[in-house]
Amino acid sequence: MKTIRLIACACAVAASVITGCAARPDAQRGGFSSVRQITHDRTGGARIAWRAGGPADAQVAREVDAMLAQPLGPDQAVQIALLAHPKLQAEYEHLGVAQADLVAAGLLRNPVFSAMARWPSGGGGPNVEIGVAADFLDVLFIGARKRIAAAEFEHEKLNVADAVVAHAAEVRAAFYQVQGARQMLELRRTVLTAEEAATETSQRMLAAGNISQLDADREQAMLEQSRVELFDAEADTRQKLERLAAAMGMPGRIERLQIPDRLPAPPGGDEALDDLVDRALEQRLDLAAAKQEAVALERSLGLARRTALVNEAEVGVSTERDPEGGSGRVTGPNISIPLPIFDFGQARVASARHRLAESRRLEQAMAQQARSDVRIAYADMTAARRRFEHFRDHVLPLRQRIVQQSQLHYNAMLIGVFELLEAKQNEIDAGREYVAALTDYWTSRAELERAVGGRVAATAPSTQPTTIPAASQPAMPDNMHHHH
Amino acid sequence: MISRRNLIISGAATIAAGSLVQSLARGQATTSATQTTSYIPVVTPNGSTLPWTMEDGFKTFHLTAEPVKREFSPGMVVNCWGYNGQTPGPTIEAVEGDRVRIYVHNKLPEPTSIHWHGIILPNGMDGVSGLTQPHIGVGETFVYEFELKEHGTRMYHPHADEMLQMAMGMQGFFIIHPKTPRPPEQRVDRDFCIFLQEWFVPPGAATPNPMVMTDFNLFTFNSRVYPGTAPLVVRRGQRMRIRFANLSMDSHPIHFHGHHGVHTATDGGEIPPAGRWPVVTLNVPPGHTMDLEFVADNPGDWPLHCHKNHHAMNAMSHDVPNMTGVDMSGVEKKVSGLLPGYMNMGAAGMYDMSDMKMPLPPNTLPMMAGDGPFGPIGMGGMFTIIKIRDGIDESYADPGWYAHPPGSVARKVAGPAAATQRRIVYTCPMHEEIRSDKPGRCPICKMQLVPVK
Repeated sequence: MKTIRLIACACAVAASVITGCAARPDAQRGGFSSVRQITHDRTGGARIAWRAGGPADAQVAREVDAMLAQPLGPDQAVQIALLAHPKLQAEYEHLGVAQADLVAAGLLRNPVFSAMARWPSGGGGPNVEIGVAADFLDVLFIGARKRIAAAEFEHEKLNVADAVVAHAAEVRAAFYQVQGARQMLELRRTVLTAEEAATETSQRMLAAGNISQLDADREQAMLEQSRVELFDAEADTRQKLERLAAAMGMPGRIERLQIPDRLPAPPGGDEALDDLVDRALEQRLDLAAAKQEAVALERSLGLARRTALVNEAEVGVSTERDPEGGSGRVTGPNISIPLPIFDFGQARVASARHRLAESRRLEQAMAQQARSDVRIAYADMTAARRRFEHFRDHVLPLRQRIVQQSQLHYNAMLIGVFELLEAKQNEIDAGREYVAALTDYWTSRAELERAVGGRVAATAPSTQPTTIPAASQPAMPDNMHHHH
Repeated sequence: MISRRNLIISGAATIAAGSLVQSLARGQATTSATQTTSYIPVVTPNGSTLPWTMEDGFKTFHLTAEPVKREFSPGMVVNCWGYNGQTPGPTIEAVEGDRVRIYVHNKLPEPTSIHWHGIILPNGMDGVSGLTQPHIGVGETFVYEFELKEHGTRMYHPHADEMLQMAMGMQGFFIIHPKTPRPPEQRVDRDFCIFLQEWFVPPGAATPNPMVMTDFNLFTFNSRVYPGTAPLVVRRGQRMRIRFANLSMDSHPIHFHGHHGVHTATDGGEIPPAGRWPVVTLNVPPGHTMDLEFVADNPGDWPLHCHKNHHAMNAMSHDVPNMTGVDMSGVEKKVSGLLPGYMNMGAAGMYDMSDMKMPLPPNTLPMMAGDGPFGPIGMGGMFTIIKIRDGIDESYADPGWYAHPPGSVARKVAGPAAATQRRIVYTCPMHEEIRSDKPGRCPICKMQLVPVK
């Protein structure tokens, strides 16, 4: 009876010093909602959802289906990826792990109950020993441990958020690649139409006896070469589409993706480099995570210092019924403390100190890398911008004018249909270079957003997009009539 | 004693001298209205005659060699070189026996001179730069003086950097009327001058390329192309003369319709009547002048054109793929999907070019143009129209289109007339009952079948 009361008492003591309530790993609570808040603006307003196996999962699935039924923009593609991709769901589970670790840090170590029964070899009743012991230093350090765990939890949240933002940028880049490839494909098809017209004309001329088989074959050879280039463009488009589908978390369902065939018109200007570098250093989540890790390691160092000499001490109570002794039962407290003779925590402290220094250095290195990332991506984006602007403002208008003038020269029978078609092809080729530059612009812009750790603003609205290829030809006069 | 005659002469000289001073100051002489002309003055279609004044017994002319802008036909202006703002330069007209004095002022960017082609004169007046005179430098003025010892159709043109200067349009007529006019029945009533020239002006551009030697694309009468060439208006029954001059690189066989003509003179002199060649086409080689005469007794609107067929068209390319006879059905749609203004051309010949008013490059003429009373005429280049009518007055204004007498115009008929369909039937000489519509052999006796009479 006494024994049982003893145990209960010890448990009560232990229970009373438990501070903090155990948080249930609830997808709606705590860590995940912070991640949701952190990522919201950085992904351009996309929502995240942790499919934890509840009824909300069906809702998310319906939402994704509804989005797929509409034409997608880059924002929608990002949204679908954040809801559907299993890689991100794995990240959210990792958050759950960190959350559980945080809870575990706030729990006191359980007291230990021990019982022993020994029978004397000579016979007689057993020697029963019962005791309860607990680590009393635990109570002193639990606060520090919880603070360390809290810092590590923050670190983990930032890591998860960073993974989300990085993935969003990846989806965006893949999206633009698809649009660029599709636009290129459309232009290649137009080039092919021009070449087919030229080849068919030469076939008709051959049939009428106006050119030789040699001339007709030469024309055909160019066409067949172009056909191969078209196949390559089709393959490239398909590959990019599969990559996008993979990034969105739905491989094999590319037919469901309704993606506009044209890249969006680029903005008139982009944020300045210095502003972007500053923003990157402020808002990049991997930098923030590194900072947070340093905080955790600093707290660990503090704890290591405090517990250098003694980090555990056991205190307990035990009772023994001694058949040999006169009173029949002995009861009393016990205490055990490791003596810091060999190990007085010097290794643990040194390790913690270096870990902290390491993380600080890493933080510096990451900050430098972040600056570089921004500068490189910015340079790429600016180069692409210069290219597409030059094509849009100089090369394409010239090519369009050449086509118009060629049409006039054709009307006067000063050039033939082959030269006219060639002028058109050259215009379309210039259009393809424009599209390539535009694709590079959008892709490197997505890369820049990755480097900045958030969206990049436009400093001027987009101007009218160029029609590619241009259809501006001199109008036919009203008194035209055909003699054919 | 001062006779009245002397007074009048000196008075006239004073007046003439006074007006000469004025005219020198203005740079443009006035035609001396006091001289009575004993000749029918020549008409230079799309050109002019150079006015003169009398200056101490010399018929005095002023020429300025300078760059000029010449409209070849409405819609095309060419950067040429010429005289007194024109190409060809204004026609110099004088009479056999005149003493002429010609001032030549050079406003070209390079030196020049003037050679008087076919005229007998002192060697030093011949105008060959470097050989018979120093060149007329930029900004300089030279004077030529000589007596006209013969009559006929002559020319004037540079003899310094000639290839370039003539290719740029520097040429003009020098007409010398005979001292003794012809008897009335042979007198020429209408006298025209047409200068032949060839040019290469890159389409869409405006400056002739003087280095082109054979591949010309524009061919002109008096530096004009059809439909920019003025018609030659003649009263029915007049004896007309056309004097041709050619300083181009090719011969031009000039053809006319509705009449037979006679080649009456070259720049070497008149052809004696027995030696005059009857022609409907008169070949004018480079460096020649040729006079053509006929009586305009057949009324109507008659073409006058070079019979080198490409010379009666405006600029076209010779490298265009040959689409004649090519079936382009279905292909046009494919091309016009890419090029909305596109239309197939040339598959059924080029007649369509004369009718369509398609937009052209700037400063470019349609290859075939001109509208007549019955539809598009579709010509260009060395082509003009001789309009012969009754009732043409001295103004020789364009009388419009010829009103054909009824029944004298080619007309369409409905379907093939039965009379034109002659089926040839073959028969055997021995066996009349055998009839076949193909030649062959008689099935009975194997003789050759013959047509039924």
